[in-house]
Amino acid sequence: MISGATMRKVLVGLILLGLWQISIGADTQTSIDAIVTHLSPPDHTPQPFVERRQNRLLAEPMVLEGEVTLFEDGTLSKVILTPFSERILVTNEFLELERNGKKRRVSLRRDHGARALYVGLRAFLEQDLDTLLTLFEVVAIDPADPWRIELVPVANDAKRFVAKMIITGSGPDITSIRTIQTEQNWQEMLFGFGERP
Amino acid sequence: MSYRRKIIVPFRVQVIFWTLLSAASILIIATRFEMTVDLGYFLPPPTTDQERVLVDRLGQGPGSRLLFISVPLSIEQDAEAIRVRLKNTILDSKLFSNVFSGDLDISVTSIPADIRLHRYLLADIDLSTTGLRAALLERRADMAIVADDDLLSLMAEDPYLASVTTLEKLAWSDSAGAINWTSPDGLTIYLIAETIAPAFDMAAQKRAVDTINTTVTAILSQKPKLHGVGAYGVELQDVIKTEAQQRSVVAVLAIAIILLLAYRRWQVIWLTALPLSIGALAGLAAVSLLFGRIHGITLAFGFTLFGVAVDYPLHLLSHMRRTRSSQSVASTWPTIRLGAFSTIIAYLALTISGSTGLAQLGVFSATGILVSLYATRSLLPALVSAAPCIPASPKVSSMNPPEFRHTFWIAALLTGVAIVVLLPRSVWNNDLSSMTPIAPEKLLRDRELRLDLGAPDIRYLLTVSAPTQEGVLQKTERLKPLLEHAQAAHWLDRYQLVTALAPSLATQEQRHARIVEAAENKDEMQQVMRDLLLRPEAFQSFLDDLRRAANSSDRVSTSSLKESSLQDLVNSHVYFDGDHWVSIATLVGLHAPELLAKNVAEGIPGATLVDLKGAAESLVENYRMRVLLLLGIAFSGIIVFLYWRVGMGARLLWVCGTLLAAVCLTGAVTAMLLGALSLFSLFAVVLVSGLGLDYALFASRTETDTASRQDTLHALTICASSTLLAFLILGFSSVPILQAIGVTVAIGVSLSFLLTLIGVRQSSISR
Repeated sequence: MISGATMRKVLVGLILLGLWQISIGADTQTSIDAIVTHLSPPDHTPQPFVERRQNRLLAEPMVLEGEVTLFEDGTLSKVILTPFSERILVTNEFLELERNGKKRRVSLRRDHGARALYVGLRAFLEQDLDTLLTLFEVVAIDPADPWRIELVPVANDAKRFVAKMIITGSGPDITSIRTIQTEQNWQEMLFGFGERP
Repeated sequence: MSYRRKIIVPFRVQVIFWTLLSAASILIIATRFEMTVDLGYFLPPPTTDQERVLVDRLGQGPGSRLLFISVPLSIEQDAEAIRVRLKNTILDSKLFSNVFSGDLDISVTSIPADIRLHRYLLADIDLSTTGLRAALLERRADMAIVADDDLLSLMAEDPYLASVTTLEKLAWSDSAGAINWTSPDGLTIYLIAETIAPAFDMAAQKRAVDTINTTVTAILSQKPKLHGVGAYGVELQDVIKTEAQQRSVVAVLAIAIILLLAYRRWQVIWLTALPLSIGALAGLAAVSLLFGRIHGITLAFGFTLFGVAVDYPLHLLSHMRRTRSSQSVASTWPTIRLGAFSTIIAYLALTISGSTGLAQLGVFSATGILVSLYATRSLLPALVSAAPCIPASPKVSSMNPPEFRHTFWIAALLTGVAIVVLLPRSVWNNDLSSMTPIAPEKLLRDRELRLDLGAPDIRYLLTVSAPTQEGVLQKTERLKPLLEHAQAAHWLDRYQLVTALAPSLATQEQRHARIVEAAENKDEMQQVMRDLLLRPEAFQSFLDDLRRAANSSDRVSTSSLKESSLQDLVNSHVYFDGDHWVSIATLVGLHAPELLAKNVAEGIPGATLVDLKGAAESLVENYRMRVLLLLGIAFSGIIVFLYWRVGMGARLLWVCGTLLAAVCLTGAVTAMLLGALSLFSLFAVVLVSGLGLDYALFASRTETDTASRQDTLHALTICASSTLLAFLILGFSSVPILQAIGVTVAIGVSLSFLLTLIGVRQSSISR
């Protein structure tokens, strides 16, 4: 016969187990909150980066170096310095490419997918968790430091561009953003003290 | 002694004859009547190259088939989703070849097969290893921003993006994204729909306009604003139709009231209408038999010119008020007949104008008048005899021969000439655009939309001509550097040449030779790819296509394109005008036409910048001179005819002088009131001459007695007042064309009547 004391221990154990599970779930959300809300405020000065890009046409990843800037008005600028010179500006309304002195502008009004990606990235950088969560499913793969967060677009037209994004960082700093379309098609941008390949 | 035996046909037989004639007319009309709105029918043969282009391309130019759609939105509506839905629904109607909304969808699957297949024949591509290297470096730079698999596939198949280059050359909108397809406040989106039917096909344009209105209303519960040649044409057609119908009804009622007041018998209305109806049917049948298709303008103006025939039953009815005797008919009939045949001579002159439309007008009016004339003579006397008479006048005296006062017509003629000479501007208005009832702010908005949305110019076309199609394509290719210079100098924003889609055979052979050479360099090309850290196997489709193109003898021709929208584009840019092949370059945002015209004329023989507005004015002027010449010939014919019938004498001089003075003074006064005379006023003057001749002949004839003179005055007064009222009602129309006709005829009738009244003195013989 099971004693009353044993039953009480089992009951307390079950209660504690339940509490532990709740605290684990709460910890995951807390982790995302903690990571995103503790990011350094956006620095509106140019940030150097090294980017590796791979696709099915390339024999090996392309390596680009340049600077990326998030301006106060929300405009995102990516300036490639090597191996060629190119500048890309992205706003909520358009994407502008400048190369060899020629500019070309494409409206983003009708491209919800591209716009969603821009808005999502900006939300992440500006610690706007609410907006981020409407555009992406956000999972903290590694909540501890160095942390790793995975973002998967919610909208189908955004998924056309990106299957998922993996953002890594340490403390308040982002160290890399990896964008994946397929196994053969991905881009990885390294910041600050990220290792150059 | 010789006498003419008069054949008397029983009335019953006459009725049967006219019934059968009417039935035959109806049968012919029912089986052969077909209406057309092709303005080419009414245009005279062109005499200059510019006029030739205008006539050939009327309503078919690249910019004339565009309908500009402005769609109002509320702030919460998804503009882009609505734009896509509108575009797809409008295209599903199959009335449109394209709907532009600023999105140039570029992917492997969206590029037309004709362009993909022949991309290296359509563009000048450096297929050498150096050229390939440069192109691949560009593609590597593109890969710094592009990760989309569709675009990667396009790059792999076409590393030069030659298809994209061709598509961009064919799009007249700015693919660099500088055009805003949404208003600054975001509350209006713009689309441009290109109709398959040409702009002058009003029925098809109406279907297109109705489709757009229905589509937008169904999706957004409100109507769009439409601009463009087709939209204005439909609006104009509706306005004219409504105005003409409303005013015709009022005019008919007014005439009916006048007739009732004058004759006090209901019978007079159908007695007047009967011969007119028979004549109208005969006129329509004649045109149907001789020409097949009748133009809408023939119908509209034909009935106007034919209106002089209403006077014939009125003359007869006025003279038969007191007595139904055959003497009344016998005394009136020769003058009616004389006037009618003189008018027929004038209208028949139109048949030798060289214009199908004018010839139809002449046949319709002349046939209608002739048949109405004899229907009046044949039917009315017997039909009128059943009605009671008004009492005969108790005092009837014989009349002296008429006394002609030449002073008045000479004074009127000199006054008319003086007005014309003293007018501060030209008597003639050659600008057809001043005849449009479209509000000026709408026309301004049309121009703004064309400039803002980068639509082709509809006023200027650049044309080249040559005896052969190959020759014209080669000449068109020579325009390219000239137009590039014009673009660089900001004379011009953009242009479109048919050779972007259908190069000359000579050019294609040159390009094919380069393709063959490149296809032999496969190994070198693959090495270039390896050097640039690209996977050669990823570009296999490009190498395969190059080899296929090298081995192919297919060439692009103006008739080989399978995609209908591309074939339409070619057909609208190159055609055979009967003598030469002509190629048209579409211009967008032309800012310096004079400079471009000078460069073109100096640079390429046979190339011309055509100003369609100028060509239209020149055509109108030539047309007017032609019609004036015909009227002069007709007038001479009338003089000869009258001389034959009435002999040389004071009457002939007075009739011709009065007619000339009435016509001249009418033209002068109309020009003074309306600013200038248009081509439509000239047509109205033809009617005035018919009416004036009728009045003059009756006013100048020797009356048997005072009762007959009163009857003549009665008839003339009713004829003049009914015509005046009918055209006065038309003269108050808001449509400039209808206003011009109404005012001219109203003035002409008034002056003709006045001159005939005061220009001849008829006195009774005192006892």
